[in-house]
Amino acid sequence: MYPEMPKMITPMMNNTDDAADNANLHLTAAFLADYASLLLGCGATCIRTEKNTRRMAGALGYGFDITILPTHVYVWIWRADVARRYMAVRKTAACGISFHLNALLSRLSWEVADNHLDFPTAVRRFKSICDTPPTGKLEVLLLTSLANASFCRLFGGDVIAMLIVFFSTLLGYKLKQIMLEEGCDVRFTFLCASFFSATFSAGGHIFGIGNTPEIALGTSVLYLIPGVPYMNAVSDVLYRHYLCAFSRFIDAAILTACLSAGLCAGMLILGMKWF
Amino acid sequence: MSQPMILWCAIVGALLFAFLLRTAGKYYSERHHKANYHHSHVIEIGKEREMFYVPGDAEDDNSDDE
Repeated sequence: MYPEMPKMITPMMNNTDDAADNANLHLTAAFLADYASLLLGCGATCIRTEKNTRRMAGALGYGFDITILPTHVYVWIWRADVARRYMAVRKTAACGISFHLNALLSRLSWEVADNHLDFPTAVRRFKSICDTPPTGKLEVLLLTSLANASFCRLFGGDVIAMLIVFFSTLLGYKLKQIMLEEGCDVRFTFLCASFFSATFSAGGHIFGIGNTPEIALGTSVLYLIPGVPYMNAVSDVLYRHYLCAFSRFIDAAILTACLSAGLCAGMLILGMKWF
Repeated sequence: MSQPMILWCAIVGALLFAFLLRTAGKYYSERHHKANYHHSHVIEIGKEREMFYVPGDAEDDNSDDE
């Protein structure tokens, strides 16, 4: 993910001091932009990205500014005694939401600030974070299904409804994993996953299994709700990152519309009453 | 069996059959085509640049239409 590990350039002679210093500024700007890009990509809010990156730049002895756009991040750094500023632009990393990665990156920023990590060590740590393997697919599949079955219980579903929701989530989420693996459009994937989950969970209603089939049907697609983008959008509004907030909100709203369409299609095909 | 029951069985059956087919396909490809196996899709979602590519355009895998 991170292309190469930059090394700090040490000036060898006095007349190369300026050039070496400029090169270090370039490398630091690139590192901070990569860091901000990955942090945004793994689901951090704009204010979290700004604070963490500013903290590291301050600890490394640079002035810092950042512009966060929906798909790109611009980082400027400068030395206090020099008028020149250096900018690095990165596209937001498409790594998917990961709280684990988010926590590791936040910890790195505190280690740079509190433990005074030098630049090469910080870069090495960042590279090892980039190489962190994602959570196992089977593990995620089972835990998501359990979590959604628990949701069903929270909404008053009985044990049969929980079982139905567990298996409908298992099928829908597996389909989602396969389709995303195959490179299908994420909106189409959401539509298909919600359609099959809703159809499977409607089995309780159709075959007359359990006492709360309507709760099983309603909660069977909850695992698809993009909660993190919605919450991040609210956080971004509070901190006046309106562009990112709007972008996140629209993205989440489109996914919600797709999953709603899948749910409605399932109910419509099976001839179920909506109200 | 009523019509919704038949539909339910057909839809869930189709999904399970697709999973089964994929598992069998993966197993088969691992056994017989370890080296040069490529998935062949009946229907695929293409990229914008595949339709509007002009010779000389940059071969950028990180394009926005992904």
